[in-house]
Amino acid sequence: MKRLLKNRKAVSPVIATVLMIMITMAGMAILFGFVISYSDAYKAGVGSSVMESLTIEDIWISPSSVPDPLHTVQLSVYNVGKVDSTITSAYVNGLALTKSGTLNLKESITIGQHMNITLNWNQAFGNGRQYTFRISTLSGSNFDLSYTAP
Amino acid sequence: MIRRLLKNKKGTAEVIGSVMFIVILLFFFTNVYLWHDAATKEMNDLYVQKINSPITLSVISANNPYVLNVTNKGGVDAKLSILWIDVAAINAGNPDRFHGYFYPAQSNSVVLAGSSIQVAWDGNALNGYGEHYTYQSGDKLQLKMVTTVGNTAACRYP
Repeated sequence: MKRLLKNRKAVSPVIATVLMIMITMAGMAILFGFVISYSDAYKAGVGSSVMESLTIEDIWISPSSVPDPLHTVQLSVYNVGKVDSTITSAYVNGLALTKSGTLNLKESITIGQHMNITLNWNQAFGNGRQYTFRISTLSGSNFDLSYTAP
Repeated sequence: MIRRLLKNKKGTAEVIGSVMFIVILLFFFTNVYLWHDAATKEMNDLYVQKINSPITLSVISANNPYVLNVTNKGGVDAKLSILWIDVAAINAGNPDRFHGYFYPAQSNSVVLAGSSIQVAWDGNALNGYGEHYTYQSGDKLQLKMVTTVGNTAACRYP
């Protein structure tokens, strides 16, 4: 036993092997962590757009007063999808609607929730004219509805 | 020749390492692909359900806007969610007076495929500003029913 411990031959290959295994394991752990975080981020981000579905269930033009200098419109949105969504922007005929002067809406809507968003346009809505409303989400999905102004 | 090739162990580690690396990468990306595939299938089911459960809405009596008839025209059951009540302006060409909603007692009721149910509305509605509306004779209404998959049906009264 004493002879075995005193014999230093092959100590270096053992250390080398242990070091090699440790480095490999550390590398694999880093790669594993990266891929797991990437796939989680994908599922929660752009990937979740697959499971998004919003319905614009009602549009009310000029709900506050007549005449309405701010050209107010209330959009009622219903989340019928399988994930929570965040509405980031809204458009009428391709032109952006604003909320308190800002374009970025950041309206979160949970699964099954009905939500009203009051927005303003920089143009007046014409009687009897048809408008296409579009809402866009953080994940990149768009949902449209055509509506004829009363 | 083959025996010599098999006996030569040079480069074996590189081959094994490369194969393992590819297998591990495949495992990770298969995970993402399978999730995406399952999510797409789930949403396709929702769209199939939506396409196959169109509803119609009508007022039962010409003198009574409070009782509505909901008919499921599709082959898949439909679940009711909310009733919208839009009140038109007295003078045509002006913006609507009121847009509000009402949760009927029949919310979450299932309208079986090909059948009809009656939905009662009490004449009141609320809107997003917390305002309240009560139906008065002569008001021009557009009633709109929404299902849980996002299908809508509307009718006008009178």
